[in-house]
Amino acid sequence: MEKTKHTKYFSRCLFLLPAQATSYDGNRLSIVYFCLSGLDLLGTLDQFIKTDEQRKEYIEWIYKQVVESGEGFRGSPTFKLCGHEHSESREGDNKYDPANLAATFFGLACLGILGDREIWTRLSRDKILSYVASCQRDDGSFGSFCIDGKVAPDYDMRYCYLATGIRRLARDTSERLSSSRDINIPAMVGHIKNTESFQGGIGQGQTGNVTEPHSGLTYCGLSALKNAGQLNNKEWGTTLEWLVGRQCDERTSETQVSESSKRDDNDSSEEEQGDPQTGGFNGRVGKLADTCYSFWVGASLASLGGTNYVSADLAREYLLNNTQNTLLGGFGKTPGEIPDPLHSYLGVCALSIFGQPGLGKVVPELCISEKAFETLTGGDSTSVAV
Amino acid sequence: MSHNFDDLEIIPLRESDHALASIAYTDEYKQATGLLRALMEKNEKSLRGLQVASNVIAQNPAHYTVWAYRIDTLKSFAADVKAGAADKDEKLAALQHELRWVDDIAMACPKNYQIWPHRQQLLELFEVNPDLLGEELTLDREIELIDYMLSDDSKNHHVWSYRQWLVTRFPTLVNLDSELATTSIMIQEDCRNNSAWNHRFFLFKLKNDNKQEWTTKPSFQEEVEFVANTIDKAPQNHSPWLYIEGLYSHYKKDIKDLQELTFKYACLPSDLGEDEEPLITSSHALDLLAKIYLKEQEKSKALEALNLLEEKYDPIRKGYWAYRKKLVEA
Repeated sequence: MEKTKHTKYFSRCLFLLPAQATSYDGNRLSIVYFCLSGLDLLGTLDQFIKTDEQRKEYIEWIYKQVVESGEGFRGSPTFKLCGHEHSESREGDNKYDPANLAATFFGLACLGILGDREIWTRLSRDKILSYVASCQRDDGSFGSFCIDGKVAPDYDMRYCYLATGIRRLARDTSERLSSSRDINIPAMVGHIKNTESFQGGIGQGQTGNVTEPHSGLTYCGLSALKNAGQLNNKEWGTTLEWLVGRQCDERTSETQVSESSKRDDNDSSEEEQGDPQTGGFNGRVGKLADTCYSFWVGASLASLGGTNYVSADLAREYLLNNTQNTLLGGFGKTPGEIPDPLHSYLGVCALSIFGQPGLGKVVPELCISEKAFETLTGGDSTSVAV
Repeated sequence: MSHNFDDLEIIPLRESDHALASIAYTDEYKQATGLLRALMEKNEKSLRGLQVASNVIAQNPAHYTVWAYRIDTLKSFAADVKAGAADKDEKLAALQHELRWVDDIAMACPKNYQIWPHRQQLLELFEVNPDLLGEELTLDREIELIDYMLSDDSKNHHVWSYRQWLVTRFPTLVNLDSELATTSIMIQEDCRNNSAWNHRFFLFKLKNDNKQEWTTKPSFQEEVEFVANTIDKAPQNHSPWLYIEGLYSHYKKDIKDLQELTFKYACLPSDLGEDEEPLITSSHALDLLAKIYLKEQEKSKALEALNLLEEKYDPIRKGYWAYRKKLVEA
């Protein structure tokens, strides 16, 4: 594994990105999280942050992304409205600068990775937890943010994951009863169960109907349950079967199972495009392997106790031999693709899950290191408070 | 159409010294987002605001608050049109142009997350204010856009999700049989299009969920034959196997009925004569066979099928097949 090159890759992205990265402008905290957490797992964070002063300055930058109300984080300084020199005549407001769930989760994670032990004296657990609860709809699902009491119109299983992730990081487990407004857990559990597809994986839906199941959505649904202490493995047997089916094996589809004679010409199987697939994971039935699914599937299997049900050796080989960029560092989505922070980070996380030596341990259902988890919660990641 | 912004004080992006993941923004992007911040802070809902929003979205469609600002602006236009505001004609024109504008963004950024909820809100706005549209709301335009986008990427998850939303949200405007026919054609074109299989399952549920007697009708048998024919084209294609198992499970039919189908693609050595070599062309058939045998309490045969998967026909998942064997033995 090209540890030195990956360290350089993450450090470069943390420093400056070219104008082509403008499409990430709304989610700069996500880039920061991918890169800092990547360095954290590689064990090379001190090569990027060389002095304690530097560390403090980066911590301050993360705090600058906290919205004025203190309810959470914005995704990027681009959203910051007030606080500029001429705003003393405050006729307007900050309604278009809301906290959002993704940025809030990433912001908290970054502070944990940077080893900030003052976090809960500087941030209000109560404000954050109440805001998370306000992003929940009656049907148990969540939107990405909430403006004037109105939940954003996007439906996505990711927000269940992020909401429960924030809740797990921000709740004070030493207090037996928290006075904060809490998420409606039974409604969320019902929502997630409703999105289990007939195929076994989790899709998403808002009316009891389910879209095509997807490894990323499945990860989010199962992790949300796990973070809330509601994952009962026995209920997810079909999902487990669907998940193990995501590991690609050209050897079975091409050789051992003699299918080629039956394949008709119109059949535009994606497997015939030439990239190596064996050991990688796909996001949906019949699709090609992609680096990030090695994590989404691997971590989902870890939550269900099934990492050994697929080939960890082939999973590592796929990433190291095919999508790792040995020149620039980082990982691409597919072989030959330019690396990007998300795939680079999830490539490292997947390798950690599948037992690559020399990497930090990742908490599968939170996608941060065990060390960062302990900094934020003072607790052990193997126990979940319900 | 160009608007005047002279009265507006741009709010610049203020970046601190130790910024992380800075982006070398272009001047054009800095200018557009500077105006957007000023408009947002004033909470100004105007035609020039809509133009700035378009400009920011063109440069960065993943900028999430601009979409919230945009739909709020459009909703305020709808109210202004109703109230007979002085600029109501221009605002009405902007509203009527909006779906077309979304078409262009959708085609330029087919993987964007924000366009679809925006479009959903627009349709709901036109549904309650039909006079804004100037014509009756139909889904023709939506289906046309969807078909166009699926012709480019037949598995685009966002587009399929939007299609499913349309069918549930506007049941009276959708022809379920024509939707079903679309999935038949797509599956004939590419039997591995799992998105089309998923949509098909969803449509059948919608059509038949309140009629359990459907499973005894010829149309159910026709569906089973459609699946069987598709399996025969590519027996190792997982989609139709998942589909038929899903169908049997959802409508509580006995999977024993599928034994004959599985025998075409998998059989066990113990079922054959001594010098016969089993021809196994689908690991999925073997898996289903194991489930059928387990259900019939023929545990040794179920274990035999699982052994074949573990050792020869699907060794990458041997840990999983070993686990399944444990479940049989338990």
